[in-house]
Amino acid sequence: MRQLLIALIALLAIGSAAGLYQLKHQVEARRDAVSALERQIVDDAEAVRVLEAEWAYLSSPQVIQDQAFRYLKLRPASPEQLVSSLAVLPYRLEGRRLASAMPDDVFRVPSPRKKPTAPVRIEEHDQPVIAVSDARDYSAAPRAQQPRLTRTDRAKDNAPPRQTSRPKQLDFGARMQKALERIGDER
Amino acid sequence: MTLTRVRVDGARATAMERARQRLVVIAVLFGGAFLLMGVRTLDLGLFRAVAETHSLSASATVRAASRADIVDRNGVVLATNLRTASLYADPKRILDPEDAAAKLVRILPDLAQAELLEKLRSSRRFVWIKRKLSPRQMWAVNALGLPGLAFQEEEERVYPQGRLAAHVLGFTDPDGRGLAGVEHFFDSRLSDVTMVDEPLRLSVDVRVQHALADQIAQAIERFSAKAGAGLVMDVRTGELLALASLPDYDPNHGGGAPKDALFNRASQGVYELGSTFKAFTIAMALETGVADLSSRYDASEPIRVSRFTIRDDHPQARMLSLPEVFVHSSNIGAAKMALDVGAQDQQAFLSRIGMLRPAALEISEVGHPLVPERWRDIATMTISYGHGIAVSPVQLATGLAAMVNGGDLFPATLIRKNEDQMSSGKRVISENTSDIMRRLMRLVVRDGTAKSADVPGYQVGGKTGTAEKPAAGGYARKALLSSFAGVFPMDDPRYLVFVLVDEPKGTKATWNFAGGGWTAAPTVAKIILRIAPILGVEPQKEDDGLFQQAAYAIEDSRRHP
Repeated sequence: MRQLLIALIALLAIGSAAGLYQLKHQVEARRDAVSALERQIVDDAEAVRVLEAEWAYLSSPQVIQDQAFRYLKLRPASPEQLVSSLAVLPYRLEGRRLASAMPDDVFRVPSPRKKPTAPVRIEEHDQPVIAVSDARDYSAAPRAQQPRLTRTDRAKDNAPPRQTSRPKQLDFGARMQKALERIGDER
Repeated sequence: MTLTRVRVDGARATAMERARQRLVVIAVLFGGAFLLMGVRTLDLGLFRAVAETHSLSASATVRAASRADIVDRNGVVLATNLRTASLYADPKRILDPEDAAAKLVRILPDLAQAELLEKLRSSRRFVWIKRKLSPRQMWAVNALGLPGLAFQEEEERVYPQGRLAAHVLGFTDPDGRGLAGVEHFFDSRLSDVTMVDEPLRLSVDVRVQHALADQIAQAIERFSAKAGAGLVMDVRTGELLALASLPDYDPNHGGGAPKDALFNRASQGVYELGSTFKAFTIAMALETGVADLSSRYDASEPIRVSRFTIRDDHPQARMLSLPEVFVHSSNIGAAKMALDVGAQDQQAFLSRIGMLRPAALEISEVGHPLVPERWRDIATMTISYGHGIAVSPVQLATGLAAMVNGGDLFPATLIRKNEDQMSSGKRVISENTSDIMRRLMRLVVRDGTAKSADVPGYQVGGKTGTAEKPAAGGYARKALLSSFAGVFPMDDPRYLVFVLVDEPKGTKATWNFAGGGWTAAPTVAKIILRIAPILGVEPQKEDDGLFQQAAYAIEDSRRHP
């Protein structure tokens, strides 16, 4: 009985010693992993800093300007090309009639006949948001059938380019004058 | 097994008994100690483990840099610290110095081979070969596999934007101490260990900064000028979106820059800026009530005071109303106006708008204004059109911003203000006077000396300044300081653009004129053209909506003939 007890205790002692040894090694391995991760974090943080600096260099205005002048035909936009609100855009004459036929907050942008038209929703802040009324997927349609905000005629679009010189563009006042004269003639 | 008992009697018995008692005492002591250890083990193993892990992860927060970054108002990196390696050698362990020197020079072409060879042959145990190698160079040196070469890890301050905003940022010495600009002013904040992870956010916008510097550089080239300076300020907050001085330098090699390039003309240089000061004179006259828009001044004759003669650069030689004095930039009219106000009030007014003390800008290079020691009448008269007082462009811009923004003076700053830090400025002129100043400045661009500053859509207003540079015994007639301060859009001022060109020469295109209206004003127009879309200022054409109104009118005439 007593010897059994001694043997049991001895076994227990050996077992726990082995367990402790094992545990200690595991802890050391974990600690190594942690410090490796820490080093990794430092290295990664440093790599991020390098990449951020590189990104700042590559996207610096001087670099972009040089590249843009070399590879692009784009030039800075002039104020005439910037439209701040829809109220600035001229209506076509029938535009108002179409607008009155639509719900209050939507009017149809006049576009050439036989083309789908895209209603434009006027938000409070006057930012144009194009909302397509029916479910047709315009993105799949050929370019000529897609809704546009321009006044180009489809027939003109498809016609071969003419060689004639373009008529001289009249200034605003002269154009308005012409329009008024035409109305006078119609009357 | 048989158990035998031994009985002992007498004196032996008592001795035995005592020994047993002692054993029991020792056993109890040891048992208690072991029990204590067991409890402590359990305690450490079961309960303290959590606390231990916490302290471990706390030590794991690592810093990658020893100096905080500097970023622009949108978070674009302007200055950062990168790890770099410096190459050194232990000459004793170098096997073949000739071969090593030849190989190293191939990788590091800026080293002199003879000098390097001498270093490698020396008997010292440590010689620097090159500080701060690029990663590519480091890799190439490692690939050589030469014994005796080693790297020392160091940190390097890097300015990825190069020359952009160099005068704002300043630079550091090789050990990372700020020597100029923001780097110097905020040196303790940037190197503070507790704040190293928080970048310092400036009010500068790199895109605006680039547009400003680019256009000033073009103006300097076109007019063969000596130098130039400029700034863009948010008139509602005093934030500087850009501050440029040319010639500039690359802060990555700041220590080697010539003195002329290091000089910050926008904040450190003080100049007699000329007619731009008339804006202050007029605002002062309106504010003190000695003049109103219908006041008239006789500008038909130059004024002679002792040995000075005050002439007009654009002589009209007639009676001028107050707006005409401003629009035609009449020195005579401004001088008479200032005399009406009086020296004392003028001094008080200029002091109130910060002309008499250095600007409180967050860089070390801030110039002290030069003001007359005794404010006599002649000083009052010359100061009314910007001579006899020398201020920095930053001071002038701060004052002008207060003239147009509704009358509130905001000190110029290079640090971005958050929404909650928006304080109301110090009121220096009334809302009404400010409104008149806006209209007058718009008039200068529409009909006056600065027509070339107009940008259709942005309603630019401003004031030109053409000052002769002081020379020995008077002023040099041909050496000009041409400047223009433009504000846009004038119906609700948002930004002020100031450009100064030092000694421009007229060209054929300007009929050899080199004044502010011919050199600085068109430069400001080009800058506004570039920065307005970036800053989100929408162009408002004068005939905006006219097409639509016309279409309505036409349709109405159709419907109700």
